[in-house]
Amino acid sequence: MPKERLKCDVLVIGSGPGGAMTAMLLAQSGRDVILLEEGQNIPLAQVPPYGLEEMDLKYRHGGLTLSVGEPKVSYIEGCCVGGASEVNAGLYHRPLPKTLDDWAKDHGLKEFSAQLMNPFFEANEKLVKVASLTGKLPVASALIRDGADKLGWQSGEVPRLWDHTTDMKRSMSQSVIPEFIKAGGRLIPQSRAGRLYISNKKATEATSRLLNIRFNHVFVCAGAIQTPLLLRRSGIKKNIGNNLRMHPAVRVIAEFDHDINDPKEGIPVYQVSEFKPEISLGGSFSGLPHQALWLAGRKDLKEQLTHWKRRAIFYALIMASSPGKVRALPFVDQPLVTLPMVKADWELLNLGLKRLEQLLKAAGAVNIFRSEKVDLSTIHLFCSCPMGETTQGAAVDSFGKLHGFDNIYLNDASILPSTPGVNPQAVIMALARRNAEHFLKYS
Amino acid sequence: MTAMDKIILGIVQALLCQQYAQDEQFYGVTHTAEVLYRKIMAMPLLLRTLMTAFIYVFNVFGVFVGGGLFENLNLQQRQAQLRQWQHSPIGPCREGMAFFNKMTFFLYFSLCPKND
Repeated sequence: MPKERLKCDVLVIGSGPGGAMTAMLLAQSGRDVILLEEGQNIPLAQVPPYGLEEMDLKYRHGGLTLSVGEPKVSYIEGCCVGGASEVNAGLYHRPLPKTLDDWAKDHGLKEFSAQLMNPFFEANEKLVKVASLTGKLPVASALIRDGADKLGWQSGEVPRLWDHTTDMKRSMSQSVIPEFIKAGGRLIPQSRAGRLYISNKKATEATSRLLNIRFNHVFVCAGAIQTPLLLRRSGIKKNIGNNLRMHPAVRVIAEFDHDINDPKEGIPVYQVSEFKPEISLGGSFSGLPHQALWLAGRKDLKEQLTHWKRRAIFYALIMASSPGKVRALPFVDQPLVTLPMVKADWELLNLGLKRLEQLLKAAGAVNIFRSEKVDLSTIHLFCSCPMGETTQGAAVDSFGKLHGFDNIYLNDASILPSTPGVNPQAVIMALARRNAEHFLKYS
Repeated sequence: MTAMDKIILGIVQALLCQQYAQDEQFYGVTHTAEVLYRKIMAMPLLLRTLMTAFIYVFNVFGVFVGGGLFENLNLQQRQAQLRQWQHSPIGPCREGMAFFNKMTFFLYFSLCPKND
């Protein structure tokens, strides 16, 4: 079957927080933009959050992806219109100003500081409606707050991308992508970019199974794993996929002497900020299937699960310092991902676990269950193609343009210069806005 | 039903029966095994290949436990083999069983909300 040929001014590959924001701003400025997305376009309300159906429909490989080597870290990637914003809790957290200022200093970023980033954060917050809880604090969140208060630790509510009028998350498919379409942008779901064709330092065409798309400029925004994979498959390898970073998390189940678990309350929005950015403590979704997953292997599992309403899952999440890698496997269109941990990372993780147990005991936990073997997982991956002017390992310049190429830009989690220490969605969207506006001004 | 389906069903039945019943045909077992098979087939190629190899080696190991392929053993023999592998000194055996353990119970309670 012959491929359909399309043309546009700007092709944006990937519709997560970085890609959606980029595509919307370019389309609103009158550019002819195609937004290409590998996953399906599934209305947010159609699939209940945190369940099996969501894993099947919105996660890459149904949510079963694992790094190779030691340690094995399970990681997840959203694969649907809206990307990770469709499957995460919608937590929105600006990085500490010091983190942003350090990025500018350590990586020689031009026109970049915490203060200069403020307007971009503010514009996004207005657009996507960053909101705090209304009404009574959910039980699991209150436990985190109470435990932290008893220990004299700082804690606070993390705001979310949330619309209180509809009581729904303001993911990209609910906020930014409708604006993109309203501005005349073309969204093409279920189409995976196979490779970019390069000629004289310029990308000219992208192919997918059914499409050939010619363009003047391309923004690759497919996330920290898929962006370097696409570039490497296209023959672009310099500083690509060499610096993957993550926030690994360990989890425990805490039991209290009364019911604390109502799955309808979703993910607790309270976090302990006392040890940020190195360590964050918070709560996870804790339905019965999720508790069964964490307790499986115990001889008395059946008995244990009868108490599930008195229990909830909590996590300690750290800033890991060791870089992982993304490589393209030969002959198959899949990545090989390594996420090593150095001694300092393990020490920080152990400290995080100790602090988490302190917190839960202070909150009144009567039992705390650790898994027999440390199960590492992460939902925060970034820095695989970092920004930078001065560092040798930088893949893109201060505004996301790929070093050594004239019309290839990256604008997603992959360009963060180092670990943000908080949920990365806010900074990804702010960087995307900043870089898209710079592109519009100078391209 | 393919050989792989039968082996996965056998593992799921044995794991669930360890906790919940001696009757291996209780509610939700077949559905759990079907979805687990689907999840394994959706894994990235490298993981899927390793998992497929694990499943077939596990099946053949039944010869040493009960004189036949795992899929053809009775429930007690299958549970004995599961226990052996769960406590094996060989890391990949334990890790493979841990995967099945976690996924079986996660899927069982996801698919059969009545089970709570």
